[in-house]
Amino acid sequence: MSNSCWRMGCAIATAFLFSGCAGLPLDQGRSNVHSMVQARAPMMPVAGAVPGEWFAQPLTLERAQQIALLGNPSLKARYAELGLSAADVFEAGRLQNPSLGLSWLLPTGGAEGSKVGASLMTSFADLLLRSSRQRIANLEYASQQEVIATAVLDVLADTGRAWFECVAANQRVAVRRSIAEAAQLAADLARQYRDAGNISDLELQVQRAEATQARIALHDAQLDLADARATLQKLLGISALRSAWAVPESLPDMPSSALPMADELAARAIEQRLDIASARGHVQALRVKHESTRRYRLLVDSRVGATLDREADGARRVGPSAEIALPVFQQGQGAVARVEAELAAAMAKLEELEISAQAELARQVSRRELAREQVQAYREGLIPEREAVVARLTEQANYMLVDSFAVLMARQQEYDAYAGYVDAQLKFWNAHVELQRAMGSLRGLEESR
Amino acid sequence: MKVSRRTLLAGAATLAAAPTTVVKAAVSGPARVRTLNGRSLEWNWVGGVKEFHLIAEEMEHEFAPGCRARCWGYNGSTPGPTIEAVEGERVRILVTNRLPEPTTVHWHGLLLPNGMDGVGGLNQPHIQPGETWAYEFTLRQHGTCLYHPHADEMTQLAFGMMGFFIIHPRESQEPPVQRDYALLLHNWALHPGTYRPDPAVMTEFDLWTFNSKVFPATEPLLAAQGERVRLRVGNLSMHNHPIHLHGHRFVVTGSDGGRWPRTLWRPEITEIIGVGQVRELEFIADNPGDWALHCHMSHHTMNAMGHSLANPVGVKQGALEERMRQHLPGVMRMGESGMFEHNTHLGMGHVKGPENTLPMAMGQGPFGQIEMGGMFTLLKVRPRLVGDADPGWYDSASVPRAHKVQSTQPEPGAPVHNDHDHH
Repeated sequence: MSNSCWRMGCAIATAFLFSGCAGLPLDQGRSNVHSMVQARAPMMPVAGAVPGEWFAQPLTLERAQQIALLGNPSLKARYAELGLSAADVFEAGRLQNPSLGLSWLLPTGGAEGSKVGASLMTSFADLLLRSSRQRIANLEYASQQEVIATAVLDVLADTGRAWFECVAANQRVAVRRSIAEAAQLAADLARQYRDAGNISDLELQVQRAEATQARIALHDAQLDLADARATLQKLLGISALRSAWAVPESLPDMPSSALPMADELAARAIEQRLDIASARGHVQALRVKHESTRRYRLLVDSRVGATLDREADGARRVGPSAEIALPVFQQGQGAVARVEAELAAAMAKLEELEISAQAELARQVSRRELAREQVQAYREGLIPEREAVVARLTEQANYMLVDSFAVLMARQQEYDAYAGYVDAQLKFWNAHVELQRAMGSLRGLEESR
Repeated sequence: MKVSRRTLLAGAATLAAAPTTVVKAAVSGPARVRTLNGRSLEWNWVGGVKEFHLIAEEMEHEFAPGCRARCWGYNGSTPGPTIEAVEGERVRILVTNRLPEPTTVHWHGLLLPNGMDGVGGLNQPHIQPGETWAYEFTLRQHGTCLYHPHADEMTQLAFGMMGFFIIHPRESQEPPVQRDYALLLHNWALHPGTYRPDPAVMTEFDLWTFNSKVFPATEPLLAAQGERVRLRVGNLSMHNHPIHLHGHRFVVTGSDGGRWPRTLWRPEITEIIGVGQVRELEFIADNPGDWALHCHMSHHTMNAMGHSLANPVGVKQGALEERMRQHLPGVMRMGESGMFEHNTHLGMGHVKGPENTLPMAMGQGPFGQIEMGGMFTLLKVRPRLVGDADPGWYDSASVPRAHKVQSTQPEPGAPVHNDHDHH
């Protein structure tokens, strides 16, 4: 063959080869997800195994969330999904493989000599649409990373909820145990009074029933604790066989700083929530797709390439060829309509997401505030008041104005107040975690205006 | 007769707002009756009439150190000051109402014109807050009478408004009396931890008082050996009280109806004073020593205690001590063998009770705790007395005394058991 043919062939092949070189590695996607998460959840580990010594101490909230990041089984599955998008990106960056046609025509009848032909064809649209396809794939890949980062933050929030639930359940068991002990003391005291012949069997059975009632309530609290531990354990990805882990025995103090104004929170949430960013990215990708589909709708099925023929007498002919689809029966309206529908749906979803994000934000802000007030009512009101009742009744008991049973009842009511206090604190922390979820970030709630 | 601004204004039926403390006038004679823990009311001769001034008002009253309340009374005290006059005198009592509500004064036991009887709505319109009214009548009897409101009695009596009106006979009586005391019995629903009596209580009271005081704040009766003592006891409480004197036998010599003829005098050790009654008791203080004088209802000699507690006597709580310390910190375990231990702890001030509340039983004597409260006081008889000063505890070292018996036998005296118990 002539040098010029080879040169042209090589040039075309090289162009084909190099044009497909823009591919994003899977590692880049993973590290983008990590940096998005770290920007919103500071001090979170990137990767690695969970160190055994972390379980030697009661797990703080931060520690539990770190363990979940490293070990949560559903997160591992989500990260794997990243590979799907990565593959799409890879493919989008590469041209479709051209097809090689070969023919070797042997003479039959009276013809002489054989004819060999070769042709190399590729889709015309593929060439035209490649850059926009690349842009779309990159946008979708970024969007997918944001989805996965959202899933990671969700796991952090779920872990937070489960951790607070576990600590509260722990605390509730301690309170119910105190109530059960006080009630049992009253029953045992009644037993002594009965043995001395000073109270009736009726009065004794009333006390015993109260004690049993309190013991049953303790069982309920212990059941709740077991459930809470199981939930947290699953989120952390700890093997069920490892039972030696603990959470602190009491809930942390509420942060004292006030929240920024609702408007500012809403603006920040819209800006930093990754699910909204992902939906926006998806909408953007569909816009690009819509644009290019509209522009090249008539040329989609066309092909271009080169053909080489060698006649029986050795004469060669080489040159470009094209196959052009004629937009006779349809002009690509179907494809455009399809993309338009996808775009409309995506935009509607984006709007829905924005609205529900704001609604959820408002809801959690007011829940958090009301829960805070309730906690204060317990701490500054009910608990000191119940303690004062017990102190005043103790004075009366020491002057033989009331008996120990009356004081024990008041003591149980004091313990009940502690139980309510724990519940109120949990309401606050639940709202706090959900607010972080609604904000799309674990930080920035207390940083101000 | 000293001329005072009052005498110049004699005849005026009302006075402008009078001061709370009445200026003591020179002509007021010496009190002939010792109103224990109290005093007699000052008076002035005004145009031949003995004029008194009662001011009905609210005040802070102390039942004993550690317990005070907002009460109602007259001229700064409950009971109000004793009115003393003589049969035949004409008296005028001005009554100023400084209470927040209307009042009247009824003269319990007095024979007087209907319009002076003081039953609000029946004999007169009520004395409005800020007003001063005059009661005037001639005394045509003698005896130990009383005065108290007859308006909103439920509240005004419950808050302490009452007093003695003692009318001495024209001639001195035989046998003459060297000591003359007056005690007014009353009851109060001052719930533990409060500062105002509860007028709605009719039967379950917290404090029982002699002249609105509880033991050990009750002033003792004093007598020198051989003196004749008269004790006038009035009862405006809601309960009858059997008044009992140790070491002496008294005779009941009269009532609010006057002195009884000798043939009606009754020798008693204990005399029930019914609600609304007055009794005059006389005796010779011939037995030296410190003698208890009290209502014999044992719960009337106690201050407030609970009546619906589970009974702790005989209940073994030792095994529960640890757990009780955890769930009932500060509650003292008491009462297993009776109340003596409890009274000891309270008496020594070991235990903090409700504010403004007295222990059930109080008082330290020369031999230990006396464990009394409420309607309990002492009669102190001494060979000689210097004035009216309290002579302190009786020194019984040189007189026969109960003493512990030393014996090697386990049951000294070998008491005989009923054989039926020992089969």
